[in-house]
Amino acid sequence: MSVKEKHITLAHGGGGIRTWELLNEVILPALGAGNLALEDSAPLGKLSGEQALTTDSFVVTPRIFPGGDLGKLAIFGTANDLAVMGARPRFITVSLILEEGFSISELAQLLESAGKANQEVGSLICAGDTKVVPRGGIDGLFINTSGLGEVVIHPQPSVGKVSRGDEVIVSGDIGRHEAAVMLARSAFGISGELESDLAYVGDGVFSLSRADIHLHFCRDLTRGGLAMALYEVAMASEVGILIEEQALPVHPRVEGLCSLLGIEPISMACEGTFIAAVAEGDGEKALSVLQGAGFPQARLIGKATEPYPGAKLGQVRMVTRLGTERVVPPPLGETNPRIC
Amino acid sequence: MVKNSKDLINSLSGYNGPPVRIMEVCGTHTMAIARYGIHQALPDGVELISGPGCPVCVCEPGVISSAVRLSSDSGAILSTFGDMLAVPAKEGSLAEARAHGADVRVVYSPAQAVTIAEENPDRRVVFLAVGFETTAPAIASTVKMGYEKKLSNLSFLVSMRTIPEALRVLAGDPESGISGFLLPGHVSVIIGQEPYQDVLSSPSIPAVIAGFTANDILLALNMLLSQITEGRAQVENGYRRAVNPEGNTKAQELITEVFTPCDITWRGLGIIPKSGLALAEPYQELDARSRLGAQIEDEAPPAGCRCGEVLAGRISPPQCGLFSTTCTPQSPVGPCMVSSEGTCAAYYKYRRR
Repeated sequence: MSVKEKHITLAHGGGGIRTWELLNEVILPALGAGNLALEDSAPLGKLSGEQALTTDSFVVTPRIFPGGDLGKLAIFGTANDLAVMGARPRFITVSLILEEGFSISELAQLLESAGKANQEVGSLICAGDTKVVPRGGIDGLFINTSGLGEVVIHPQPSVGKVSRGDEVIVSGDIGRHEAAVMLARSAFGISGELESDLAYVGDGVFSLSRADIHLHFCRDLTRGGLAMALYEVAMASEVGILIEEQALPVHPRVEGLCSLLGIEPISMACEGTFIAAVAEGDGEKALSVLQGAGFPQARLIGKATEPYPGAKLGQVRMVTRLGTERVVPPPLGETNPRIC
Repeated sequence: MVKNSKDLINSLSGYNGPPVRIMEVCGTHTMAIARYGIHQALPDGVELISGPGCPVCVCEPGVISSAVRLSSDSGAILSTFGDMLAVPAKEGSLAEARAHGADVRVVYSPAQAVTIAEENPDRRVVFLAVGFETTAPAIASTVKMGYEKKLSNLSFLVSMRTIPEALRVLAGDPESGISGFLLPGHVSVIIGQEPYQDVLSSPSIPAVIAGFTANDILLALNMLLSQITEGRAQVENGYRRAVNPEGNTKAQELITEVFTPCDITWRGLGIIPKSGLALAEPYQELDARSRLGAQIEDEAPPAGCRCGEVLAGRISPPQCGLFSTTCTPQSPVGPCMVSSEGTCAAYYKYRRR
C-alpha cells in the first residue's frame, strides 16, 4: 500500500496521484466498489421502466453511534428514500467532503460500513467524488449521495394519494435514532446506551406490495418524525389524521429521555422506521405481513378522516391515553441539528 | 389504593357544586394538562386556568435588555437556559444578539457557567439566572463555587422568584375569582407544604400539591373538588411520593445562605414584596449589577401583548388579539409564546382549533 499517511492531507483531494492512491487503496476497496472504472461519469446502460431519483447529505455527529455510523446511515438513508416511493435501489453515488487531518483508518472504517450496507440493499455504487478542505473548513467528514431506483410498486405510493378511511401503520418504535444520537453526544449531561433504529426498510415496503396490499403512501420517518410525516399527508391529500396515543410504539428509554426534556417522541427522527397508509380494510393484513417481514413492532396507529374544520396546522389529532382528543403539534424544526 | 385514570375522570364528572376556576401555577403542569387533554375530561363548571408558573414568562423584559447589552456592548459571554434566548425585549432578544455576533451560550446546568469562566480567564462571563425555588439550589451552589474559586470574571444577573408570595397576591385578587390552586410539584419538593399554609390562610383557598403524570393531576383535581364540595380550604399533598411536608431542608439551607428575599416585578402582577431572591453577603460581589454595573430598567411590554393578563389568569390566550396571528412560536411577541412551558405556547400547540 502506498498510502502511508495516517491522516488526510490537502493533496488527497488534489486530483493527482495522491487522490488516485487514496481512491484505489482505501475508498473503493472499503466500499466494495473495487471494479469501478475511474471515468468522469458512470455509464448505466439502458434503463427500463419508471425510475426514481433522490439525493441526500449526511453530517451526523458523532460519526459513530450505537446502532450505526455515518457510512451506514448514508447508504440506508438514500436507499430508504427510494424504497418508500416504491423504487428498488439500483445505483448509488457517494461523494466525500473531508477535513484536512481526518483519520484515514476512520475513513476506511466508515466506508466499509457503507459498503456492507450497500450489499444489504443490493444496489451498485457507481460514482463518487472526493474533496478535501483545509482544517476547520468542515467538521471531519460529510457525505453526499444520490440514488436511482426502479419503480416496482404500481400505482406508485405518493403523499397526495391518501383518502378518508385509509389505515395508517407505523413499522416500529418511534424517535429512537434521534434519542440515540442525543445520548451518544451526552447532550444535556445525560448519557446512556440506546441503539439507533437505523436499518434498510425496503424489505418491509416491498413485502406489502407483494402481498397485494393497496399501498397509497409510504414514508420513512426522518427529521420531524412521525408528526411531520402525518402533517405532510394531511396537507397534500387534504385529509385529517386521527391517531391513538396508546398505539404508538415507543422504547422506554426514549420515553424517559423525552419526559425529562419535555419533548415528544412523535416529533423525533427515526432512520429505519416508516409509516404506510393502506386502503381501508387492508390494515390488519398489512400489519401481519410487516410483522412477518422483520418488523415485529409494527402497529396500526390510526386512520385518515374528513378534514377537520379550521386551521391547517390542526389536521393531525390524537386520542390521548385518557380518551381525550387533542391536536398533535406540528414540529417547528427547532430540535437537534446534525442528527443525520 | 391507586385509582386508574378512568376512575379518576368518572369521579370528577360527579362534581355538582358551584362553577369553579382552578389555577395551576407551574409551567410543567400547563404543558402536561394540554398534552393529556385534561381540559376535555373536566365536567361543565370546572375551569382550569394557568397562572404565573413559567419563570421565563414572568421575568421582566428589562432583565433581558440588560443581558442583551452585557453580551453585545460589553462583549461578555452570556450564558443562560435555552428558553431565555427568544424572549423579545426593547433591546431585542438574546438570539438576535447572538446572530449579530454576541457570544451567547445555552447551558443545561448553571454549573457550566463556572467551567466557561475557568476556560476563558481573560473574558467576562455572565450567567443570567432565571427561575423559581426549583432551580434556586443549583444556582446557589454555582454562585458558591464561583465565590470559593475566586473567579473574578464570573458574575450573575439574577432574576429569581419564589412562588408563595405570588399565590398570596393571586388569592387576594377579587378579579381573578380563583377557587383553588393546583400547587407546583417540583417547587414543593424543595419548599415542602409549610410555606403555603401562611399565604393561603386569609382568604383561605383550597390548594393541592400535584405531580406531573395524568393520574397525579386528576387525583389532585379530585382532592380540590372534594375540598370545595365539603366546604374545606386546606393545603393538601397529592404528590406524597416526592414531596415531604418539610421539603428538602438541605436545598432550603443552600438557598437561604446564598440568597436574601427582595421585592421584585412579576410580568402581569407588578411588584410583589419579598417574592424575589437577590444575592446575599458575601456573595453580593458576584452580582452583575455591582461587578459590571449592569442596569435593569423598567420596560413596557410590546404593544398589544397581553401576556401579563394571561399570567394573572384574567384572560385565556385566544382573548389576546395577537394570539396565533402576529404572535406564534415561530415569531413570538410575548414570553408566554416563547417558552416551552408558556401558556400561549401550550394553547397554540395543543388546543388550537
